[in-house]
Amino acid sequence: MLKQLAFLFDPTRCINCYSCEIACKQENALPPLVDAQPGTTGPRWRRVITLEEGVYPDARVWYISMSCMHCGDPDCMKSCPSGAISKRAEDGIAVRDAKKCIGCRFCSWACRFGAPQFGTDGHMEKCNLCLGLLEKGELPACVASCAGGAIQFGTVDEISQKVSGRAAMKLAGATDPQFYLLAAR
Amino acid sequence: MQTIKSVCGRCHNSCRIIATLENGTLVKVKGDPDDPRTQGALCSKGLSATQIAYDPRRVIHPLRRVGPRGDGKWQKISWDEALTEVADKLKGYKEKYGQRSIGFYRGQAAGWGFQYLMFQRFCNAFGIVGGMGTSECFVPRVIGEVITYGGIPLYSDYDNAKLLIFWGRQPAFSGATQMRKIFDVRDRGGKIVFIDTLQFHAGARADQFIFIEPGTDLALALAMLMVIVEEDLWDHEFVNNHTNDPGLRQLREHLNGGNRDGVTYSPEWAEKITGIGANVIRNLAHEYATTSGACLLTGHGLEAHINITQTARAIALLRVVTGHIDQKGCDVLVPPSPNYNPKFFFNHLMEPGYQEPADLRLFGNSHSFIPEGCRYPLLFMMQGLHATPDVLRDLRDNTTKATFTQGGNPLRMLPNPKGVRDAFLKAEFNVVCELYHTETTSVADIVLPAASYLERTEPEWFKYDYWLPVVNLRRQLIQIGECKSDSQILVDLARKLGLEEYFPSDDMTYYIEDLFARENFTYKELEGSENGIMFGPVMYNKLAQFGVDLPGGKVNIVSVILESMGFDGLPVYYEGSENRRSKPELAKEYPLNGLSGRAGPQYVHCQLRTIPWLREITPEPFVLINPAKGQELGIKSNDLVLVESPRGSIKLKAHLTETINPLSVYVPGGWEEANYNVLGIEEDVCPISSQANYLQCLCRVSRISEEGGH
Repeated sequence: MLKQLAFLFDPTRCINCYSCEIACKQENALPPLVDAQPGTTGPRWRRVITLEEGVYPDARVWYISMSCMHCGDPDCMKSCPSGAISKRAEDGIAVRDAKKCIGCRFCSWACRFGAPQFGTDGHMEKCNLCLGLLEKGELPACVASCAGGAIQFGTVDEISQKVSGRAAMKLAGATDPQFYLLAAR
Repeated sequence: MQTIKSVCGRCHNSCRIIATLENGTLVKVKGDPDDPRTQGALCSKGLSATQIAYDPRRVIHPLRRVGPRGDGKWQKISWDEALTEVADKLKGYKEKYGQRSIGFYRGQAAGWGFQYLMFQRFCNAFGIVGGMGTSECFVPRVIGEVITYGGIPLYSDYDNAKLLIFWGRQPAFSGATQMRKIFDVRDRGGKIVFIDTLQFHAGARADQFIFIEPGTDLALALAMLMVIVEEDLWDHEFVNNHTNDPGLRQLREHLNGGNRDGVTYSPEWAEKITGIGANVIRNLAHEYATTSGACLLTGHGLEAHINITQTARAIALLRVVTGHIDQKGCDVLVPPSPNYNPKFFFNHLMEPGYQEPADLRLFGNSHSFIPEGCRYPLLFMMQGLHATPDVLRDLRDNTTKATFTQGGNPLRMLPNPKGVRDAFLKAEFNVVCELYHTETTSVADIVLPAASYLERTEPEWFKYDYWLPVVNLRRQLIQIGECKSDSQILVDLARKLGLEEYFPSDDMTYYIEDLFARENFTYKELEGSENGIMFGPVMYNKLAQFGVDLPGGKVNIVSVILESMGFDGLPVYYEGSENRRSKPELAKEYPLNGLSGRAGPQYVHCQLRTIPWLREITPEPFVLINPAKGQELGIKSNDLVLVESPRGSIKLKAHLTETINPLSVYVPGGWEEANYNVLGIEEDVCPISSQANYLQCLCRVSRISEEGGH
């Protein structure tokens, strides 16, 4: 039986410290481009976005750390003309096959979360939940390093245990994104 | 493939790390899940270790200047040649002009632990007094606490706390790896309060956020004391038995107008200064006083104001009168370092009648003399360094002929950078130990390549937050070029100076063993320990049990030390150097509060701008402006703007955000391209601690060009 893995994100614990972004870059050896093209960034498989609402002094700011959502029915996979993207049968991780990718960028236009990134070699790359670490029994780099403990992951069963009584919602969307968000209290 | 457990040193928080090496090359660094302080978390800076290690911009050989100062032309020389020249010059100046002609300056970058203690040993052995090579921070706050209860409660008892009040402190920037413990407090039903000028990063996650007018924290603390005293929320048992103001007779009178200004420090009075509603102040005071297990976590936002030491005093008094100091779930005094061997420092060379203390910790200085030219004895006694204003005075009046700077870039990080540059140019001979070329190396005659934290072996006990009394061994993982640790450079220099008597070995383990000669662990045990060695207990209620090593033997609500020096024994409110209340005329021309502070979660001070992963997150400096103010000034996000103070101006991009007061703008510190210190104030300092007013001044902002324009 398929045990789809998903992210559980707790916005009440995210402080926009960028640990997850850098942990991801280190683990996946993502090159920076700031030297070659100042002001630009290299591929970011994970990024923290800032949402500001309200007006001073009653404004609220939320930070959301996002990567590939490993959707149940991913747009990237459907849009790929070369069959380079697939879902692993055992855990539902959306993976890409570098040998099949032709660098056409259809996936990046199709993905509503902007997850697929383009490497300096012109091929698509993205979060694979640190598959190499998972196989060694370790946590994905972003989960392990997260300063506030905001990023967790697991199967739906595991996530419902981690939620421990708090309200959580699954991100809605036609592609069935595997991203659960804990409610603010 | 090899994994080694070590300790990060990219800031002062000393998180444990696991490093992976492949054929001697550092390929990965991650947090150590066995570290009880972090549970494996590591910040963006620590995670960038591989780029820090192999940054091609590093200075990796000793260099001698060729051509005029500032031309940036260097000649590679050998260590032997460099140290021989430095030793000859320093010896010559000292013989000709005396010890005050030699300025040895210490910045933040190599830390305040072992490297700093070796610096003290060197200065004593050489017969000179060291000086600050960076802005004062932390210690001016430490002074206020130490003269109240004899120490600093650096261990926040998160595991048992129910209320955390972060006051001018941004844990996302400093000590982010403690955030799991901090949020766990809330998961157990506790509350997190922030008092700050900017509602961002960790402040955005507060249950209650209180905006405060910058530099007015002393007014808030005094009004909270007033509420606690008047509403009888204070701890009678603790105050009456263990402090020097039983019944709070003197404090009550002081708060009720019995101070030299005749001001009653009521919440209504504080509301006008701090901008915080009197009812909010009352509720906060109530909540703090009546919650058992409440921490007040203070930070850099309180520092860099000329009223810092009295602010720290007033906040210390909040802990004292509520009986929260040193209690379960509160701010706890712990041994801040292992007990040092007093013979390690050779203090008797500078102070012939020196008495060896039984207990010697933290900064390790236990001098009881005041050196010639020192105007800030409390700072000197706490840290063993001449204060920045004294250092600059000695440079400007030519008392100092030769300088030697370690781990600091005063030409960027002090207010009035141009004036500081001119001061250093007055010295005849400048030596700088550095990892990179900086503004300060630009006026150097010799540059010595310093090692980063990844390239040196040293014991580490210093922490920024959650100060568990544990010492770990930081291990040398790699060697870069000819770089040497700051302490190794000092040992080699001392031996060139003929000080072999005090530096008999060039092996650093000799000095580590010497430093800990009084402790009950050996270097071998430290080296063999992956999880570190506890050097003291976490204990509650020590002040009541053992008293305190201050005049009278009790907690000093009235500071006997300050009174004896002619300062206020109880904190009296006074304004910052430059704001709408203290300089109303100037404020007509410069109507905004120009704030600065820490550079962000991925930078430390002026460091790390060359690390690509970190730089691409924030590629350029920016100023935060409230959208209402932006609209008034015709400024949109990403417009290029001019920020001007009476002293200078900088150009940078605007970011509009509702997280800042419309009357304030915020420029993160440490940028070369838009250095806040150009705007800042050098002259005005805290009379007790020498703290300069370097995080706030009056300014105005105007648009230069629109986004994409030139």
